[in-house]
Parts: sequence; structure tokens; C-alpha cells
Amino acid sequence: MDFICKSIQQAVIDVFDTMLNLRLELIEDAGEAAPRTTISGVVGSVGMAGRINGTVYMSYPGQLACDIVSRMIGEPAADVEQPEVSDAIGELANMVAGGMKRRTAELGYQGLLVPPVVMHGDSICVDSKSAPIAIHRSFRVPGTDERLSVRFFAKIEDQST
Amino acid sequence: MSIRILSIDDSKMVHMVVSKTLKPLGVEVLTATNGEEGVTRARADRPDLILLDATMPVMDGLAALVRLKEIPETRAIPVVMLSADSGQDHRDKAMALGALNFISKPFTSDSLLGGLKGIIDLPMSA
Repeated sequence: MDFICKSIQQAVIDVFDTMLNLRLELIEDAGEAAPRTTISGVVGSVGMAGRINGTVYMSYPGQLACDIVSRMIGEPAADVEQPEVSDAIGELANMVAGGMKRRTAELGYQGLLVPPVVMHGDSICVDSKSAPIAIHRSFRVPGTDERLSVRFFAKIEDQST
Repeated sequence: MSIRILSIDDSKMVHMVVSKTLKPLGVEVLTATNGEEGVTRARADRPDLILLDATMPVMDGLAALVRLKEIPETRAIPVVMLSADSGQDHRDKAMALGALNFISKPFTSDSLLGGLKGIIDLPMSA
């Protein structure tokens, strides 16, 4: 599972560095995420199918999502319900999932990506009881006290199936 | 007449970043948000180059690439993939279908311009 953790961390750091010129800092090694968890704010998610079947969830507090999108598009984004926020948060999740996919494929875990889904709310329940792999990582965003959380729930298919 | 590049991507954010890089060079950036719309736009507007995402609703990038290479009016338009789904399998498939290059997302202005180098003549600066 270590290679999946490293793939996620590196993909997140790479996307934010390249697209936003932000050097995210991994602030805690939260280990395994609870199989049933509640996420709030704006959440970008992307599914992966193949030898690794799973979904990555990237959750941002509302203000952080707006700040990141503003930085990205060069225009103010004041409300998480603005279509620009969903668009950019979804695309960031897509890029992170793409980076994970590329890194894991290099190790023999080929797969496909599903188009991103973006949700927002105060209490989004994610129940992934059937996923043996549950990873949670948090990152500090420079210049703010807010955290970006990344969760990945997955299972690895046997190569023979 | 300015160079016209068609960006086919379901993310408006990507269109904005592409425009921010190319417009200062005098490039006109046309946009479409899925493969089907992109093929229609390419046929009607005959851009000088197409930037094509892979994962899109309605018609994905590889299906759009196949259509673009089937249609006589669009067959000769150079296509460069710009995609987060940048595994070697995907790259190989796109190149076999006629893409001339593959730029991975995330991308910088430099990597975008570098990926177009040798395919289209862009002014070096604004």
C-alpha cells in the first residue's frame, strides 16, 4: 500500500505546484481513513477502474476552494456554488487521479479514470466498507491555516481476475 | 490572419489557462467542451491546430480523434493531446490514432508551448 500512498502524495504536490505554484506541505500522516467518514466543504472525486479499483476524494473548506480557484483562473470566486469552482475543483481532482494512475501504471497497475464528480455540503457521508485500502492525507496550503484533505478508498484486483 | 487553436476540453479552467498562455502570442483560442462539439467546431472553423483532452463527456478524446481523422476537412489538422490521463498505454493509443504529441496535465505555460514546438510556428513572445 505504500506505493499508493506515495503516488497520491506526489500527485497532489505536483498538481498544486505546477498549476498554482503552491508548495503544499504534508502535515500529518493520518494513516488509514475510517471506512465510514463525513466530509464537508467542496469535494472533488474521481473513480479509478482496473487493477486498482477505487475513488479519490479531495476535500477543501469552502473558502479555501474559492481562494484556490481564484488563484487558478485569475478572477475572484466568492461562492462555492459558482460553476467555475466546481469546474476547477473537478479538474484538479482529475489531474491528481491522472498523476496517481500514471505512477501506479508504471508499477504494473493499469487502469482507467472516470470523469470527475464535484459535491459540496456540510455533511457528506462516504461509506466504503468494502474497500480494504483506506488512505487519508492532509496538506497545509501556504499562506493559509486551512487544510486540503485527500482520501482514497480502493481495492486491488488480483492480476488473474 | 492569426493562428487559431481549438481547445477541446470539458474544463473551462483549462480553456482559461490555455488562453492565458496563447493569447498574448496573438493566437486566437476557440473552445469546445466535449468531443462531439469539438469535431463539429473543427469541421466548421478549420483551426490550425487542435488541443484535445482525453476524458470528456458525450464523446471522449480518443473517439473524437478517430472522427477527426476520418473527416476529409479535418484529417490534416494537427492534433496534440492535453490530458491528465497520461499513462504510456494512453499515449501510445493516441499517437497510433494520429495525434502528433501528448502534453500531460498538470501543465505549465512552458510545457504547453514546448509541446507545440515543431508542430506549429508560434511567435516566441508577445
